[in-house]
Amino acid sequence: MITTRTIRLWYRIHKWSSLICTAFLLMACMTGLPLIFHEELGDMLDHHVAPAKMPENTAPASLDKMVDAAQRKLPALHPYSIALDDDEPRVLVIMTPSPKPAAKDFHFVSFDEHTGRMLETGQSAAGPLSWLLRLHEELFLGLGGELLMGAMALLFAIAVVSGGLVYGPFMKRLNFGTYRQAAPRRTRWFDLHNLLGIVTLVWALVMGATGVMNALSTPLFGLWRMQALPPLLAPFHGKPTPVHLRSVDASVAEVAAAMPGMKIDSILFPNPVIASPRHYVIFANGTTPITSRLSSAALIDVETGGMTLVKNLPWYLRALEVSRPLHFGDYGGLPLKILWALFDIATIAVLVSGVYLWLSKKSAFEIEMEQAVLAA
Amino acid sequence: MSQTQLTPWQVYRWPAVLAAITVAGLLFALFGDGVWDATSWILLAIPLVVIASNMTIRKNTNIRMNHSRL
Repeated sequence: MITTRTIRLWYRIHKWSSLICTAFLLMACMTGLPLIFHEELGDMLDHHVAPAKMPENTAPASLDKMVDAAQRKLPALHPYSIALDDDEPRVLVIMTPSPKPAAKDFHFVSFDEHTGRMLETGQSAAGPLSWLLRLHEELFLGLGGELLMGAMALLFAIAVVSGGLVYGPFMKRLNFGTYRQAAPRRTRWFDLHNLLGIVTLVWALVMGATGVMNALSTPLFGLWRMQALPPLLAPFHGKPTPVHLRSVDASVAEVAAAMPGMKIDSILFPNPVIASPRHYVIFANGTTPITSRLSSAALIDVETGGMTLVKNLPWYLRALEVSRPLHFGDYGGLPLKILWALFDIATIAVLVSGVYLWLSKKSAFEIEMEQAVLAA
Repeated sequence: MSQTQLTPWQVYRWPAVLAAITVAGLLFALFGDGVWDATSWILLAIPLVVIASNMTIRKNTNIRMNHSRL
């Protein structure tokens, strides 16, 4: 039997974990709302040069030529990575001033994957959506802010679980779904908080948990680099980055042949700070909806073309990859995004009603009921 | 307050059903496209419909509390 003491403890945990994270969560919910539709809004906000319509299975154009063209376009910057767009036949060559650039220093030149024609150039962290994203994930504070938001997401998850636990005692005399429209305001908000909170519980818990995962992505990838890369790179230790890099196209072809059924997703250029000083790191994804979230990686020596497969990324990076779509809601078309937005609005209502219940003076009725519940 | 108390099972059965529906809805779209996505949309819409209907439809039967105390 659940004792009054236990219920009081759950209630305190619910109250304090909520109070600490509420301001951050409100910000996250409100900035998250437009970010759900970042693809649609991005297309609307940016003038977007579309790649040419080509029949499927058209051979892709040379990546090497695109890198050369990007280098000529932005001569002061260095190639950082190449990203192949999932949705459109587009290739982005990412150019940066240094090996470990700040979030605002990523520039890109986009190309038509089939014709190789240059489409547009831009800066990745410019524009209102990038601004919102940086506020949402790191409060403009870099890694420290990211970890702070991760801690707030963890508190939110604790608040959701403890909220689910105190729901029971509070609803002992109320049927599921009770919403007393004619009752005093505090009673109405109490009902609203309970109804919305319990119905959106799983969604909110998933958001909190995947939010924690996302906040940990930078340190987790760092951990992987520290654990997995040094043994692979030990033989090349101290050797400088070669001046002439071998063909990206040939390296990609090599990896594609070694990983049948996988689609090349991105290519990281030699990078002494975040990756290997003398390898391309090539990431490939599966092609089914679930495996497309799971990447494998290969290192290609930029001089000899020798390949080292890092096929199985560790479990924590796989968990991270699968958790990303569950946070963004971008894996089931526009209807799923609209549902995501509605859940998000419901969560805002839970947060606001929670603050209201804490701030507002309890009516005699509420005090009586809570005492009766807690004494039961 | 001598009204009947609900058992934990009575309190939590509908939340449990909705939680299961939400989990299924979140996962279906992850495993496939087309029909899988559509199944997700339907499943995830159910909790939202439950909220909307409880907040708009007037019910007199759902209150076990003695209202005269208000």
